[in-house]
Amino acid sequence: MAEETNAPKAAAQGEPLLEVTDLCKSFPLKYGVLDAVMRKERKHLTAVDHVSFSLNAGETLGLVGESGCGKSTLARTVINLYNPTGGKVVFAGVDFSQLSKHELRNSCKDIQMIFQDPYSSLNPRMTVRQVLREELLHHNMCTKAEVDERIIELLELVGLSEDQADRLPSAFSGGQRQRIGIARALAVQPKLIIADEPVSALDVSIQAQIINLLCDLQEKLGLSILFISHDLRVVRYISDRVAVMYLGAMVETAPTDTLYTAPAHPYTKVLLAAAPSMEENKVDDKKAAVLGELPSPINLPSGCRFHPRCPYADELCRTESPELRCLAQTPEGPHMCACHHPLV
Amino acid sequence: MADTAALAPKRTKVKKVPIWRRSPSLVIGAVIVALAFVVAAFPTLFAPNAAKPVTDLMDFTAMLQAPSAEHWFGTDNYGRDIYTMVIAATRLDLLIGLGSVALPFVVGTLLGLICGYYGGKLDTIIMRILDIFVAFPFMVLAIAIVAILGNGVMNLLIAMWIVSWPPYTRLVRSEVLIAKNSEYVQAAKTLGYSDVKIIFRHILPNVISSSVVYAASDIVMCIMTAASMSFLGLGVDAATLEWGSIISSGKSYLLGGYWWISSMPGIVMAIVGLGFSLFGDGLNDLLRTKD
Amino acid sequence: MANILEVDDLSMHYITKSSTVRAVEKVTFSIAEGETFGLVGESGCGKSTTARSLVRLLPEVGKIVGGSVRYKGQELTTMSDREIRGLRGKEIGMIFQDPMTSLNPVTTVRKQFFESLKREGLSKKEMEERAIELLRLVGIPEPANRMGNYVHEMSGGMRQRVMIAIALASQPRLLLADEPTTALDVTIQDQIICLLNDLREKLGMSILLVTHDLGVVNEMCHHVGVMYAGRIVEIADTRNLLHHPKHPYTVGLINSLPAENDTRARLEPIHGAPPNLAHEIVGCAFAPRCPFADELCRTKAPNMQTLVGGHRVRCHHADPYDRTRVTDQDRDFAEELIASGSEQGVNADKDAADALTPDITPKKKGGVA
Repeated sequence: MAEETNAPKAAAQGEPLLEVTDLCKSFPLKYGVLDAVMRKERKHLTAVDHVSFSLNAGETLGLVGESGCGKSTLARTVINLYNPTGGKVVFAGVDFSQLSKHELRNSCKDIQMIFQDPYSSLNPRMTVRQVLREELLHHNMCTKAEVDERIIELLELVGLSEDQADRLPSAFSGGQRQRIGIARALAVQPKLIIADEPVSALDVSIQAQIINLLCDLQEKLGLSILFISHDLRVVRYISDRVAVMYLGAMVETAPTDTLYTAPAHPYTKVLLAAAPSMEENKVDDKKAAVLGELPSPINLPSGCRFHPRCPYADELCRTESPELRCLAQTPEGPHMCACHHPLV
Repeated sequence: MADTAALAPKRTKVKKVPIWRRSPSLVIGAVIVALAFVVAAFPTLFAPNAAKPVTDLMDFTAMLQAPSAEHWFGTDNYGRDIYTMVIAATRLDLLIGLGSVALPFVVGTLLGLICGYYGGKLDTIIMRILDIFVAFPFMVLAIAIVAILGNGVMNLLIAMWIVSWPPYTRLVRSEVLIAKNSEYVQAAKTLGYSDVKIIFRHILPNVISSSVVYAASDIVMCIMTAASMSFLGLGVDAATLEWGSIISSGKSYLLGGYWWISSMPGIVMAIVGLGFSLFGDGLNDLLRTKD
Repeated sequence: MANILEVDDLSMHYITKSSTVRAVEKVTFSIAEGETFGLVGESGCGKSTTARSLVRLLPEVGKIVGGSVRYKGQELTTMSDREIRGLRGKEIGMIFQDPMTSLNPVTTVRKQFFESLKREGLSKKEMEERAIELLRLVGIPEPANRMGNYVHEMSGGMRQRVMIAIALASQPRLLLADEPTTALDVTIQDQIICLLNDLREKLGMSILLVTHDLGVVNEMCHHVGVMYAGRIVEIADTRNLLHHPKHPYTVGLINSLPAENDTRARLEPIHGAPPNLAHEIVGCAFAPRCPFADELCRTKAPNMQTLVGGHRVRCHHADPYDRTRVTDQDRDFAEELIASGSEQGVNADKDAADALTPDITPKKKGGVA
């Protein structure tokens, strides 16, 4: 009986599909007339702070982090839902910052997104067929005559049947809606899919179905996936490489197995230790992995963002913010870490 | 895929509850409103003399008669059959009601969509203008406008248009603010759809329901306002039959005990108003449960 | 150790004009003093509803139609409203999933404490002191400064701690925790789990934990009950349940989760969907989705069987001595496991191998028809 696996692939040769360099995105906070009169400083929320990473064709890059780490904002900036306040995004050799608004709109069909909440990611007043038909025709994916056929193909691809095409989203369960969302993303044949917590809102048994589906589709269609999640177990399962973010900055990137077995950044170590495990029963001797609250992204700590909660922090960490450096090169990819005292 | 072979759509057949039990107000309201429309369209079916000019109805042998088998609503001081007059006036009143609402509904919704979606300076300007309009009491502003423009149905409609648009804008704008951040709109943006397409094809169907429900009760409000203005002598001229003017013509006879001249059109107006309100209520429930 | 809570055959239905939803069916379990008991299952399985039914926190259409709930010997199902209100929030505390909606957003922390402590008849000064003490107990830094805060001024973890502190204000003996960590970040969840474990030990409290996360169950609970379609389908101590699950649903749940090692074996989801609880279920509730279901399963609802070590399963085919169910394939697989010296799953014991039920041990395929 052949063991079906979703094992990681060796790093692809050549240019990465997606290259993000020093990307920044900040949001100005409310600044009213009174503030101006009182000459108060304009405050900004820096959601994404000089983030760099790359994603190769055909691979799955997992992106993990807790709230306020900026992973969702990063995803939306890459896909052009937000305009970056700094840095650049180069996709398939094309620099997005050089494109006009019109060109941007056309090129963005190569990157599509799958959203977290199956209950708000579908238009409640459009049937499945209407949604798919509209995008197939808008992007000239096929002729008018072929549309219905193509819709059937797409539905089958994600495990739905044709007789469900004329229903409204309210007739479907959470797992089915996610499948529709995936079909919507695939209809325009994108090269990259950004999946923003696609299974977090689903029950465990349905999660497994959707994860299997994503793995199958990746294999079948040669997709590249940026998989964002807070669930470390799922990320480990599906990703070839993993990136960890904390308070808007990228703190570590490494091939999956390396990250999970020998993390270099203290935050990664803490994150892995904190995740509830089913292995040994720790009811009677459990200790917290890390103390302290997550700081607010508005008032960032000085120097290294993690220093207030880091057991290894010293004077250098309090004053200087570490750069993302390459620690080692493995066949699956480089191991990058932004720490003054990496653990490996 | 074998995974989903057994998956059936979530909703298994729940007993289909018939519409009159689910929303009795919708049905009752619809019946009343439909009846009003039929009366407006074919007044002669209900009152054979309804098409005649008002002066023809005068009958000096039957002045100020109480409601009876011959004159269901009684007669006024000119001997005119109140029932016939009320039936004849239905068309105009419904026209005023619908006409007053149609334009503000369209324009107000459009403004709400634009303000909500684009925000920024345009939004601020339009909302402040809206605030100015809303600062005036509805009725006072309408009366002032009619007083300036003069009597007549068209001027009445113009006055109604000017005062009625703010609520639609507000309703739609707040719904758009919510819808704009939802994930399906973000998905539409990632698919590269133009703003116009997103606003009208994706957002509009989802934000319009509260406007529609509001419009139903707004029709009642407009009929009432028009009737009030006619009562005051503004709006339609004395020769045109309109519920408010009939009520007005009977006001000096109330103390004399001739209640039917003013009350009958009032009761009819109340029933029609109730019909629209119930219909709007029922529509609200229906649209709510569909979501 | 005495049992602080004993639930026997508890059934609760939502009864409306158009339908009757059997949300909780014949649920039986007990919680010993000072231990944490977990109720785990997916959405709609009835775990939250069960917890609320214990203290009769139900909407108007919810009615307890059978069974008994005994708290320290007192019968809760027949108590008057007044009596049960006296227990709720006092001896039986409750914490919920989302502190943002379960704490009052328009009153300060101080006021919310006072509401709870008023019943103790303390003076204002005493209440303030007690509240600060409690905030310190739950690990909030500078508690005196927090008293004047509003809920929205605090982070998720803080709010959850405040909710726990308020629940502890009247020194409950039993704490009902409904998904207390689901809405929190991983590192904060970790802290709250530690906190609850510490408090349980320190105060000698018992906890009923409702969750969908088996990892959290592993880190908090001594005993666990798995719920499906309003019924408890398996109940055991945590270690046994997670490593030697007997009910096909439990096995399916565990198999749906990616392993905590680096295998990329294909996940085994459970096919189908949970049944509609408005309809009468004939036979075993899990039969439509169970790979082992046979005619008996589809026609007769199984009772709870007690296996060795207090492990209870609601399944017709869970009898460990039912040799007729053991196929040659099972036997080969068992020999293989023993030979490879695997720690996972089967006891490396010859007798157990002989008496194997179609026990699909997690992460390995075998015994599947």
